[in-house]
Amino acid sequence: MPNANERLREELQGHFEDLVRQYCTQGMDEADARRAARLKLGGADQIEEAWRDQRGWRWVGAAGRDARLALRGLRRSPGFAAAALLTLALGIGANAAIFSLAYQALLRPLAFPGAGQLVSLFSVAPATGRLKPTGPSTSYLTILDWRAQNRVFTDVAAYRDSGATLTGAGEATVLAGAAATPNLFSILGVRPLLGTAFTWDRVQRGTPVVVISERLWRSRLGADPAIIGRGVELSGQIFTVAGVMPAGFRFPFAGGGQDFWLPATQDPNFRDLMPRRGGHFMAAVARLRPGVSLEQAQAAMQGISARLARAYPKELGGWTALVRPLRDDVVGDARTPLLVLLAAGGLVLLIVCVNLATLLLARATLRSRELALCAALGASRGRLAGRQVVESLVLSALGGALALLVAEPTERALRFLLPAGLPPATGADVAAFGFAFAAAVIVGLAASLPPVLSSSRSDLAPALKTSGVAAVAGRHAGRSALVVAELALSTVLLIGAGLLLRSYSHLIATPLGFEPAPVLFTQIGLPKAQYSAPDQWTRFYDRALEAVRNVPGVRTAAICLDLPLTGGTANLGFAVAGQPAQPGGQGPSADDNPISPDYFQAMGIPLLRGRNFSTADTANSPAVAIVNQAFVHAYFPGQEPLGQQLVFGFQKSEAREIVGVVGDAKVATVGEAPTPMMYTPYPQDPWWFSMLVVTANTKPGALAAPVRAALGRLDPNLPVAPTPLSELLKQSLEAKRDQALLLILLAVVALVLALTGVYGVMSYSVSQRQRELGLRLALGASPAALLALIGRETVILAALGTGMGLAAALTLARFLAGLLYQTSPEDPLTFVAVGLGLMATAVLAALPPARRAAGVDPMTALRAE
Amino acid sequence: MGENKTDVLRGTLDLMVLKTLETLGPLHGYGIARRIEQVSDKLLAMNQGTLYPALLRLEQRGWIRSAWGASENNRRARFYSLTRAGRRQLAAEARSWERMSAMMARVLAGDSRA
Repeated sequence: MPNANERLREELQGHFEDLVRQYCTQGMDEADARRAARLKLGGADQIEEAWRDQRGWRWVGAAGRDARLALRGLRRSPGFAAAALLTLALGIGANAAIFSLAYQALLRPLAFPGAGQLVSLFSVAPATGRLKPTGPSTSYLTILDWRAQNRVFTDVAAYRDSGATLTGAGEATVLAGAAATPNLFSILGVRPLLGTAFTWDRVQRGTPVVVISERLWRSRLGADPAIIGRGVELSGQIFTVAGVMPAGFRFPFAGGGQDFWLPATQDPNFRDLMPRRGGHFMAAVARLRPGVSLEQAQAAMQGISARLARAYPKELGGWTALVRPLRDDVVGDARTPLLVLLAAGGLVLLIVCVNLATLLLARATLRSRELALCAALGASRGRLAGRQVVESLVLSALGGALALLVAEPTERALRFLLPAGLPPATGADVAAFGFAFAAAVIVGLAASLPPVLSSSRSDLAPALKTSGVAAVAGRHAGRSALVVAELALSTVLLIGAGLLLRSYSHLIATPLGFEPAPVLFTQIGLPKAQYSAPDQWTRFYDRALEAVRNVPGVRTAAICLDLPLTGGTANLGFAVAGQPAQPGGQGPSADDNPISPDYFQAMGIPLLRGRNFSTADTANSPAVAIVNQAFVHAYFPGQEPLGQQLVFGFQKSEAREIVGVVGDAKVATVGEAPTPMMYTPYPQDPWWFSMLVVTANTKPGALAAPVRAALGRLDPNLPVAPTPLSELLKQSLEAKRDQALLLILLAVVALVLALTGVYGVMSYSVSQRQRELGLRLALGASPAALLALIGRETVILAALGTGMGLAAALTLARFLAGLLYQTSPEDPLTFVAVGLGLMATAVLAALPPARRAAGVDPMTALRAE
Repeated sequence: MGENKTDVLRGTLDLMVLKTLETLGPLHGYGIARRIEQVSDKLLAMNQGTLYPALLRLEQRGWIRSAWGASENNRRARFYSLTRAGRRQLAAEARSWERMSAMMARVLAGDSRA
């Protein structure tokens, strides 16, 4: 730009001097001449401005004209337009949907003000290998210490999931909720809809208070405007409503949302656990002070943890704090699959570009005569290139618009991929639109490159004259490159999809370690208000089991704490009797599962060694335990576990003798490795909470009502919801299935694009060689030899393309390893299948045009154009 | 072409520039301006500087091209010349002017035969 203005000024200067010389020659003196010349020439500023304006209009005028021409051209070739627009709509549409999902999950900040400053605090014990931060991991007292001793956070709150039964307002219902320190809401920056939520001193004074959700307020409490100060009965105890949270508010994120929040010190489920420094059952959230970085906070917390570990070596020795952005908690699970999807989406876009470029190239050569004429008549090469670019942009703009239509329903259908905790985003539509627009522009520009390059590099004149084989060969390289690129990209994408498919097929075929089919289960949570002592729990379960066993149709009834697939575990540290005790956090730990004797039979878990529990194992008999195989492999490899004594227990830590070994059952979700588990007889290890498990002689579903009635006779206020276990299994598989479905969808899109692309590219490439083939025929080659020639060259190109793709896939597949189940990233079956399949497609695609070309009369071929 | 006065003026100016270049061959801005003044018999009085945006427009349309050269006074000057497209444009414009003036002549003469 500065050069152009320089040129104008130089011209004006020269013009001025010429005028001066003219007037001087005509008789004026120097000064008058200069004045006259200046007048004649006009104001320099005005001229420069008009000049600059004119420069600006250049692009707009030309572009507008080219766009109109492009539209007319598209209408005249509907086949080409349809193919191109379909490719674009499919490719960009699928990508816009994925991008929108990724945007919601990864980029959009959490729904709290200043959410970027919120962090989660975890306790980890590096020495025992417990490095991965998982949910509640710290004791209440420790979190209070963190709060008091730190200088990097404005505030720190403790919280955890909780549950209670709502009674006294219609049918008794189990509610999900949370227990938290009073400052939770202020840290999150969310104010209640009604009331003032908690305050520390109100809680300290001891009045039981609760904050409820808008959903609960509306559905069970009649949206009473005077709700503040009213009492609600939770698990048999009255709590005063201190506030109502706004609709949609949810914290912690996991699960289906909470209906109540209790002060941690008042929640009957955990009240008694508060004074225990060694109990790691609370999670912590904090807000960074302005100006404090994550690293600084991490360092500070590590220092504080070290101090605490020195002060309480038994409970906290070996534990340290971990600081992580809160966002990671929400996104955690979905991050890897989403990133993989984004990468796959990028590949699809690339394939779309190559397809489009091929279509445009084919079209350009068809119109090469017209283009050559334009060039001969004076259109500059730049203008021609500009016209190509505008054409591609018009095409991709139309395609992008169509893509939006495809993207919207696709995204809605794929929403299940998002972690359940995220509320639907408002800005997602804008993001999807922006992405589709940007993608369309990029694709348009990228796809227009090959035609532009090929038309400007080659001399257009020969297109009008006859050309020899040599001249045509120059364009051969470009076409070959397209073929190779298309094949390579498609290979990578199809291999990725193939690997994930295999992984999924392995997943659904996995034996669970137990028989889920005939099992009915229900949660039982005994409210502390009525059942405060452990022997009350034991007595209730005794009676419950007996009552349920008497229901006609019931084969076995049993209870346990951790039911496979329900995800709840109680992880306890233990010590092997006779070995020196290690400070808390540094010793081994396993899941504790109190059960009744019929449990293994009900679940179909085989007893491998020793004996099962029996009714003789009571609270007064010697303490015993049964372990599973994973436990033996982890802690007694190659040794005899029977007879060893383990010291652990929830209510009371005591030595228990191992009397049996059972097989492993899947714990939390399908696809997880079984964890070490210690089973105990429930009278020897009482919990107020348990799972009742029932097997039926017929369909388990039919027993739901009678089982519920039997339990209701024992305690009418106890909510129970008997459900077939197969439901749980379905849900557990669903999450993995959804991921696989999404990738299958992408793979199908990729396959369609790849097949049409490969076919198109091969077709185009071969048909372009008509002239050359005709020449060969005229020179005496037989049609068979020609077919062989084309076949050979096609195979070489296809091999090159798929080879490159396979090599790329080998290196990239490593990133998928985290998502694959029992499938190696180098799975030979997938690689071979995709490689051979694509090569076969390429060769097959080249056949029809090759045969056409070989069968053509040589004179026709030579005269063609 | 356009309806308002500026556009008519612009179009006329364009035509004159093209014609000048056809007649005199490659010429610099000063030369073109001088020739137009002479030929139009001072009827087209204008600030000569306004020629330059017009020259740019013609260049953008592809009807003329420009290059640096040496003027008679041996100063560096930008010379403009007609392209083939410009030649065709000139011929087309000339034809359309002829047709228009012939038609106007008939209309103004009130030919009873028309």
